[in-house]
Formats: sequence, C-alpha cells, structure tokens
Amino acid sequence: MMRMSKVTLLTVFVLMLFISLLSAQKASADKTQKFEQPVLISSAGQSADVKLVGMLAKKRKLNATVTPMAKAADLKGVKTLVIVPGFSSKGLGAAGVSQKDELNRVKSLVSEAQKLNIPIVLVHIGGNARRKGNSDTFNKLVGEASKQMIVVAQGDEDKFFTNIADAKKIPIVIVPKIVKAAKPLGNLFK
Amino acid sequence: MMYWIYILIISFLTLVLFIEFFKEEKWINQVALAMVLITFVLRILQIK
Amino acid sequence: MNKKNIVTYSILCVALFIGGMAAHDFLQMHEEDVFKPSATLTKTGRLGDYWQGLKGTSNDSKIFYFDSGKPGATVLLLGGTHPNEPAGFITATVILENVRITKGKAIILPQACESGFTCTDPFEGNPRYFHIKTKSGNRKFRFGSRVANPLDQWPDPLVYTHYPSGSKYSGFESRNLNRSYPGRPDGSFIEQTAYAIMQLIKTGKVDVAFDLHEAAPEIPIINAIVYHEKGEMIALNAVLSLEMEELRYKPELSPKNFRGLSHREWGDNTDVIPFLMETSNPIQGRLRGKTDEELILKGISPRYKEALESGALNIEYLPSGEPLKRRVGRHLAGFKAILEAYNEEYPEKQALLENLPDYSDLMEKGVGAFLN
Repeated sequence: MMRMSKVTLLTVFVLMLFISLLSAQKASADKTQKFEQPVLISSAGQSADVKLVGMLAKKRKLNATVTPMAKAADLKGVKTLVIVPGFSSKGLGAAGVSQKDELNRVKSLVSEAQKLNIPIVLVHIGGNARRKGNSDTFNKLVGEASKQMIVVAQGDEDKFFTNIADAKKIPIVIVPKIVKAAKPLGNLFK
Repeated sequence: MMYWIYILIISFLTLVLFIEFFKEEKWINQVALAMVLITFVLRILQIK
Repeated sequence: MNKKNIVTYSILCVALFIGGMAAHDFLQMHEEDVFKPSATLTKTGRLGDYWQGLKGTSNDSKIFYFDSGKPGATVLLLGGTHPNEPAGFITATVILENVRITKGKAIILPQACESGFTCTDPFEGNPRYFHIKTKSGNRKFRFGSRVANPLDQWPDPLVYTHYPSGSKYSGFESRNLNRSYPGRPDGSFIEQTAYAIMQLIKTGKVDVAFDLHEAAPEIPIINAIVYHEKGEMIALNAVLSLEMEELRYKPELSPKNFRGLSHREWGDNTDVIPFLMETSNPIQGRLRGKTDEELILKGISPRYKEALESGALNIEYLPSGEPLKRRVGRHLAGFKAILEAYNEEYPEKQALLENLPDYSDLMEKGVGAFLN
C-alpha cells in the first residue's frame, strides 16, 4: 500500500512538473516582445539577403520598406529597424561604396536608431556564406545592438550569434531555413 | 597588326639565336639556346 | 665532322625531337570535342553566323538550337566562357544531350570561348584532358585556359582598357571573354567574340540567358547566382526554391561599375535577363596541391580540407570534396530553378525544357549517366 502511494505520488509529481514546464513555456512565448510597424529593412554589408528578407516581410504582410543603403534620415517615422547583416563585395560594388563607407553608414544608422529608441532586429539568413571574414564585423556590430535576433541555423553553427545573445541577454530564434524565418519575423510585430 | 609585328620581332630574334647557337663554343650554353629556340619556333609556326 | 659539330647537331636533334613532341601535344588540343545532341535538336550553327569576322577562327564556336515550334521564351545557355571551369561546359553538354523542349526555344553554346580550349594556362600544371565514363564508352573532354589562346590574340597589353567603359584590368584579362562584353566588330579577337554573342542575343531575341562558371574555393563569389537588377525577383525566388531542395545559393547583385561581364553588359545592352552561376572548383585554387584529372573529377584536395578544418580561411569546400557531379548538379538545379521562376514571372512567355536530370540524379548516378 505504502509502495503504491509512493508510485502514485511520483507520477503526480512528474505530471505536475510537466504541466508547469508547459505553462512556463507558454508564458515565455506570450512574453515574446512585440515590435511596432512601420518597419525599415536595411543591410549591413550589402549582401542581397536584405532583398530576401524584404520578400519574407511582404509574405507576412508587414508594413516594411527595404532600403539597403538606409541612412539615419531614413529612420523618420520608423518604429522598428530590421538589419540584415552579411558582406558582399559584389553588393558593395553594386551600391558603389567601399567597405569602410558601409561600416560607417551602419554605425551611424545603429547609433541614430538607439538615440531615437527604435529597436533593432537582426535577421541573418546567409548561413556560412555570410559568416566570418568581413561579414562578422557587421554581424557583431548589429548583433550587439539588437533587441531580437532571427538567425538561420547554418550561420550559427559555431554559436556566434547565440553567444552574443547570451552575453547581452537578447532573445534569439534559430530557424532551419530562410523560408522558416518568415513566421517568427511576422510574429514579432503587433 | 601588333600580332604580326611581334611575329616579325620573334622571327628576327630566332634568326639571331640560331646564328649564336652555331657560334657558341660551350655545349651548356647551346642547350640553353636550344631550349629558348623551341618555344620561339613553336610560336612562329603558330603551334603554341 | 669534328667533335664540336657532333655536339651542336646532337643538341639540335634533341631540341627538334622535344619540339616535335611538344608540337604534337599542342596541336592535339585543337581537335574539337564531340557532342551527341538529343533527338530534339533543330539545327546547329557557328558563332561566325553572327559576325563574319569570326568565321573559320578558333572562336567560330558551335551553337546548338532547339526549337519546340511553339511560341514561348528563348533561352540562351553559355558554357565554356572560361574553359578551365569544366562544370559550366559539362552542364551545357548534359543539357544539350538530354533536353526535350516543349515550349519556346533554347540556344546552347557549350564552348563559348573555343579558343581557350586549345591551350592550358601557363605555369599551372593543369591536365589537358579529363575523361568521363558513359554508356557509349569513355569520353574525352578538353580542359583549357581561362582566356583565349595567345595564338589568336597576342601580345597582351600591360593594362587592358575595357571598351566602351574605359575600366582598367590587368593585361591578361584582354583575352578574357567575360571582361570583353559588349565587344565591337573592329576590336580584338575576343572583343569580336563578345560582339558576336551580343548579336546572337539581339537577333535571336533571347529572353533569358545563363553563363555558367566556376571559381576557386577561396573566392567570395561562389555557390552563387549573380543577377542583373532586371532579374532580381526571379533570382531571389530561385534561391528560395533551391533552399527547399537543401541547396544553398548566395544571391549576388551584379555591380553596375564592374564592366565587361555577361551579367552586366548583356542586361544593359539588350532586352535579355542574364544570370551567372558559380560553383566551387578546387583545381582553380591556390591551395589545391596535386593537380591532375582526379582533381577535376573528384574534387578532393587534402590541402583544402586542412584549410577548412583550420578555420583560418573562409572557403566553400566540403570535407568530402567538390566532385564534378556535384558541381554540374548544382548548375543544373540552379538553371532549372531560375527558369521555373522566370516562367512564373512571365506565364505568357514560357520556356519549358524537360528531361533534365535533378541534382539528386547527378549525385546518385554521376555525370556519365547523362551523357550519350
């Protein structure tokens, strides 16, 4: 009898633990921060990934404008700034700027957004191809200034973004594919 | 046009080298000259 | 005959023998590769049909036409712009040997710069040929030079000035087809080749065009689709659909100031929507190590593996290697995805090319299974 009640107690305990864990998870999901629209989507490094994120935003019917070379003045009326980091020499050539110019532009865009209290969301979809080398300068700069990150898993194989997120207490969503980034991106907005 | 000017120049050089090849006393220098001649002749003959 | 004369004539004989052997090998590279087009081939032609200056020259390259007889888009596919990038040339060959066209037209130049197939790049130690086992036996293909043979255009200037932009490149690039567009009829040999291709695009009323390339694993523009701004939506949609097949491609916008390249000049000077694709080809890289036919076919380079594992270099190289079948498979998948995206964007003017193998087919059966 005593033995039976111990088993019952244990089962009840495990069930309760499971339920509480589930509700905790739900609570945290409910607590996911929400951002406001209109959204400005810009690049950091001029990779064409910014256009892909623009497509995803359109798919989620967000009130978003894609301006790969956005400057501080473009933040007027913007409630959220989405930055897509990733270095592309071809992209820089297409934009007609040097890497130094691009870095200065991104720095001033980020500091202006911070000054105006416009939250920054990092969306990294380029995987390995937009990691390391020149890309990581932009990834780190934007990552550390962001309030939320959405990263395609291949770009975080070495936990580069997760480590930034942990150190700066920034929520991060890792998705397996570019197309899978659309939903969490859409869910971020009210 | 430049192509044929270069072919003329290389033909002249080949002639000079060929004369030098027969005038040369040391066999080791003749080998070096022959190696250069191979490439020049192949270019003149439009082979390489 | 004195001793001196014996030595002199002996050296001359040896030189003649070596020169003769070398000449035999060099001349062999002028023998054309064999293509076995699919039964739906409509006609063949030559690049000289578009500019008489090329008639009978090494760049009077072969052209294969496939016409469904039904109205639709005209697709142009160039392989062999750079003859040391075999995946481009072999992909074009696989397509022309298998394609069944049911709507629109296709024009295929498997060896756009045929002159470059008649020599190899100096100091690279590259093999002259590679062999692919097919159902009809072992087929031999040439592995050429990045640029046209100096026999067709010589000497190189110290600095090459692109016409008409005035952009400056190294002298070597003066023989590079993909730095010579739009070309000119009274220009250099390679500028005339570029001009003929532009004429082909214009008179053939080409709607969508592809230029297939490869690059060394350390080059940043790799496993990429480079697009003209006209084709942005098509390229981005193709990248997304390829990702669904677990194939990742970097979308890269063609820079406006990088002149002479197909993805820029074709788009700027004609109505065509151009795309250029790149795969990772270890034999072109500086770290490749042993340079032989195996490296072309299997793409296994222990040095690149080491570089990858060290993490010191940002390279595109798989630990298992970058075999030709994978590179051809990627080009084929990219070609099909872009064409599908084009057909979705322009439903009133489609090109339907059928019977082309998938990436998985190539990986499973190899390139040889899809060559006649």
